[in-house]
Amino acid sequence: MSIDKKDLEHVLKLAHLDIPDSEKEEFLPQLQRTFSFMKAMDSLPLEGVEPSAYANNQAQFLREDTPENQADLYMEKNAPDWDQGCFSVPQILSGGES
Amino acid sequence: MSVKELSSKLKNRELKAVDLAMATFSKIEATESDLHSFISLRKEAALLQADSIDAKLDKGEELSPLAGIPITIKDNMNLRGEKTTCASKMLENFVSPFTSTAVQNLMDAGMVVVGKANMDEFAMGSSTENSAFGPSKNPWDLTRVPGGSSGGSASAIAAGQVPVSLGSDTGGSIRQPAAFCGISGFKPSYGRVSRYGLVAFASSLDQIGPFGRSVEDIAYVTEGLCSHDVHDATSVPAPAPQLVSALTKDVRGLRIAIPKELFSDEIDDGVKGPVYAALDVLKAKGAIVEEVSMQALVASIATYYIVAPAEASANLARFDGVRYTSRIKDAANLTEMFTKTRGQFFGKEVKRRIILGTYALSSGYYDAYYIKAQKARTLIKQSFDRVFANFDVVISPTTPSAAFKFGEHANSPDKMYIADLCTIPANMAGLPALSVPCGFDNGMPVGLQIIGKSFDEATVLRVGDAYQAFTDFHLAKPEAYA
Repeated sequence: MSIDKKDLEHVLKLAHLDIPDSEKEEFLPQLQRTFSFMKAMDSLPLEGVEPSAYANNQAQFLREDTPENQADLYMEKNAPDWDQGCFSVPQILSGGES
Repeated sequence: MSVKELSSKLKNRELKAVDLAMATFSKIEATESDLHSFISLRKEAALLQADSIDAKLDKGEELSPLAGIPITIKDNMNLRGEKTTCASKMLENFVSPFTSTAVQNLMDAGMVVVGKANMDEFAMGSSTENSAFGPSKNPWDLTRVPGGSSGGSASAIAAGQVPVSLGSDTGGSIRQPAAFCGISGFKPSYGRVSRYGLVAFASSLDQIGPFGRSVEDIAYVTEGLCSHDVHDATSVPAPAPQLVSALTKDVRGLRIAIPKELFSDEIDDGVKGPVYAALDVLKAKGAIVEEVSMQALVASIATYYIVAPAEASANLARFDGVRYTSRIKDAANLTEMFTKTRGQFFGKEVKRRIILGTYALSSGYYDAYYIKAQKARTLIKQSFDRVFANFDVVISPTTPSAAFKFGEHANSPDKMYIADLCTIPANMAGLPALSVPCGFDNGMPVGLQIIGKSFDEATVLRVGDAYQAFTDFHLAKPEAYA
């Protein structure tokens, strides 16, 4: 099982990634070679093994939900487009109706 | 000069922190055009910081041994008011809104941050060739890579630009460049150092750690780095370990396991030779060395190149042109803004890994790849648990080869991925792991990796420091920068 051109197009859509055709042609064989590594997992006795998302089994904790760090977090400075205290983005719905 | 020596000179006022900072910048200015270790420098802020340390020392205040020591941090760690680019066009103009806990801890101890080090884009790579701002060079041979992803942090130490630096290690990104540049590099246990303010690559694997010439320098910096942090839900609620006092230079009775899977045919003979010689040194000083088998390690690279890209694909979803400085011009609609911004401002390796990770997490492939990799991760952890029931440390080469030439793996990412063969297992199992220089292969440094039990940083550093007491490879410097 490996990635083919159709999978690549689907994944690019899922990942919100628009890349030129030249990169698709370059990446596809590279990705296929990387997926060939994955065969190594087939040699392991994985049946009945519990998956691990983390290395440690410690319980994760939550902190108190209290406001802190009220300093300027440079949202405006880092925003590509900032308008009246909001991040401004291109139109979401196509125009026409009003 | 070591951290201990600098600290003593600063304390007894033979040396001023400002003069040390000035000398550091002079060295950087004289060598940086060759090496490109840095993405940015902060001379004015660093001198002000050094000046305030001098004022305190002049008054006779008792400060941390780290006070006044210059350090550089990898450019994926936030430092309020300074740019944090992650060596990406995506964050080329991003200004840090706050300071990462690890960096804050060191600044609270009085360390002087001189600049931000070059790296592979978003910490993805093994050579710094993926930096959007050009690669760093290996001070031992400028035609060779310094390793990666924390390559700038390593080249800066090897060339004597700064005494210590910080990197981050997700699959070997501290240990591999340390090995390539002939210096010491340490990844503490997962959870030991807060990741708050470190730009996330693969959150279950990322860990901040120091580079230095010696293990003793690393012990000082690690003590300053560690703290429990409520801003990182995976930070362990434990006090910082006492590491400098653990450096007893004694390895008598130490039980060392050497897994045959990490001495396979993929490891160059020129690397194996110095590693076996290092084991002989430890044996001669009273350690017991035994070969073991850890079968699950054969799937380390497979496991890593599913788990890390899967987590990265989620973490990097936030870079969409809305909040983080870079956005394409004249997008017709929101979707086009997302897709074209990401396509244009991410580099090739980052895009490849986002594709890999998205595919592994997508419907129909999730069980076949992602869950399978998580199960393999369990087996890797269990194989360490079994070995550590009978041994104190696991030792292996740090890398399969010494530093390679620029462009050698440019069109073969899969060949580049092999560079992580020996380092990935410690990330998968969350274990502390150190690389120390142990010899040369055709004039290029070779690294010895020491992996310890979870949260047993003290034993790992004790073994590395003892090895450095018995040998002098860590004192070797590249001729051009001696």
